[in-house]
Amino acid sequence: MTEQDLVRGCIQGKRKFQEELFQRYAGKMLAVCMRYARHRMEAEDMLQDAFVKVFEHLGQFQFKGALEGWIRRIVVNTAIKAYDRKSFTHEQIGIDPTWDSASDLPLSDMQLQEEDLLNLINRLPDGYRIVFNLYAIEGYSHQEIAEMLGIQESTSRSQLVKARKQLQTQLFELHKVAV
Amino acid sequence: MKEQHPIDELFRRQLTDYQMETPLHLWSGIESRTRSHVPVSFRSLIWCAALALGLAVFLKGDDASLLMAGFPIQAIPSLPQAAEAPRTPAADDASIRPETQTGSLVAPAADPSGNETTRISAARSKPAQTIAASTGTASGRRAASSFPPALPAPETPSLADPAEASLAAEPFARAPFSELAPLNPLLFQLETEPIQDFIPGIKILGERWYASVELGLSQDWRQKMLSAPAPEFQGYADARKATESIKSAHTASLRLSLISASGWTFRSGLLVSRTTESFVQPDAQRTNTFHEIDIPLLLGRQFSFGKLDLGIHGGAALNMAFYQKGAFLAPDAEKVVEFSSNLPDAYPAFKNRLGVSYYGSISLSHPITPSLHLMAEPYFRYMPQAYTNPDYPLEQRYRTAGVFLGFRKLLGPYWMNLRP
Repeated sequence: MTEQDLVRGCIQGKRKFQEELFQRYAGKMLAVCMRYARHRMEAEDMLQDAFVKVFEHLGQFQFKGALEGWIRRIVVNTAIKAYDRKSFTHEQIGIDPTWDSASDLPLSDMQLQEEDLLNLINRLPDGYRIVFNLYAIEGYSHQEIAEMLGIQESTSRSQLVKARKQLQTQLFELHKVAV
Repeated sequence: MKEQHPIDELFRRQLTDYQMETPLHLWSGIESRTRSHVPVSFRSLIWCAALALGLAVFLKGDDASLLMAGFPIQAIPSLPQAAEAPRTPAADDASIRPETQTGSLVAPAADPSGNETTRISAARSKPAQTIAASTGTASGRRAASSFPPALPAPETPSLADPAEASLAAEPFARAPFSELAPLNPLLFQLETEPIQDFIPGIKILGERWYASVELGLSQDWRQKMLSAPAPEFQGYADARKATESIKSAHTASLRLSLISASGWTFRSGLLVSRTTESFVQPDAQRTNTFHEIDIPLLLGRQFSFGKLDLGIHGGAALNMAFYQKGAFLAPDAEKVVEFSSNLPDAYPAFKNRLGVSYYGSISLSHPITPSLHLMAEPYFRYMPQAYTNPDYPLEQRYRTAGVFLGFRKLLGPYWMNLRP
């Protein structure tokens, strides 16, 4: 079944097509949600909310880009809307932002599973986690992140720096244990 | 080009295309949430509350004494007095004879309350006993005490014998209850003068007219039509159709109706409509609102089938104002523009006055009290002119249909005799 047939069937409200679309993209999108959520249950709720929106707005998809990218945008938007703006402005943890030991970490040698990385991301405070995901994995610029989250660009930058620092610390701990 | 931090690179490499197993219950949850349903919006509840308030106001204004006249228990206090009145053959004759001179019951001078409407209304719908007892007049009490006519005249008990006195007094004690027995209304055919002779005033075009006020609320069905006069804007029309949909539409109607004795009707008043539409984009959703204020001018005929009144009305609705606020895709379909009737620099897509629309309706009403009718009125409305300005590349029109549910309050004292 082509992507176009799938989309048309979903727009017509055919359950079989909708289920097919869900099965085709749910695995990847659940992984996206897992990066933004604090835990699995929250991620599953996000995924359901996002797919409900996908089915409601599928008529607006104009086949100009990849369907997966369009769905991913909705999933990401749904995920970030789940958090209050306070998450991005008031979170402070005791990390010295000037400390940088990334160069000391043999990142290329580290054998980490995806689940391990997800665990590390999930431990980040909400604001750090969301900015890190948007910048490092989705590839948005700080300006775009600032617009999406309704925060200052400088806030986005500082949250990213702090997120990296915390991840470095956690990776360093993991490395010490492994060695 | 963004610099690649090693931490970012590690996470991006491993997580961008990462997939997870999805449990089965996730799809069931989505399936149940995407089933079509009719949401009960907060606004619908507001409309219902307004309807209930309207009902309360109407009922409060209704004649309470008229409603109470339907309960014969009101006759009780007057009965012992009537029993004490000396009975004369003349009075007995008058009391057992069905009332033929309604003037004694309904004449204005005989009613201490001075409420002529009540008297006449009751006289036409209630047995004479109930009316007489409730009015409290002497003749009324006599009439009340005399039914049913089979009651024996009480004898004065001897005070010397308490037991005998008690037995003798028993008919007095029972009289009020026995007199509450249902009466045969055929005995009380009221011979009245032709009602037209009572009717004061409103005589137009050789017809006598009475008036009513009608309040109705309708949850509407609206069809939006977007058309592109120039073919190059067909794509734009399609894009707008894809991004906009009607969420809800309501109309409130407050009208004054003039109804002639032969059934002609003229209705006018105020129609206030509110329509909300969704403007959806992948990342956001907005609500556009449109308000219309119209004055309907309707002619029609009204027919009575027993208690049910059927009316057929047609005419025009003159639009007095059209307010709008919201956003939609701009003609290049790339960006979103805001429109508002209140902001002079907003996108000038819509008119502020729409012109004349066609209006037709069929009303059904049924009395719940003599002067208050429950009303249901299916209607349609169509505005032939576009809601949009001539400079705007698309033409936007609406067809509207709905069912007004509400009340009709008949005005004036002679309403019940003038029902055509």
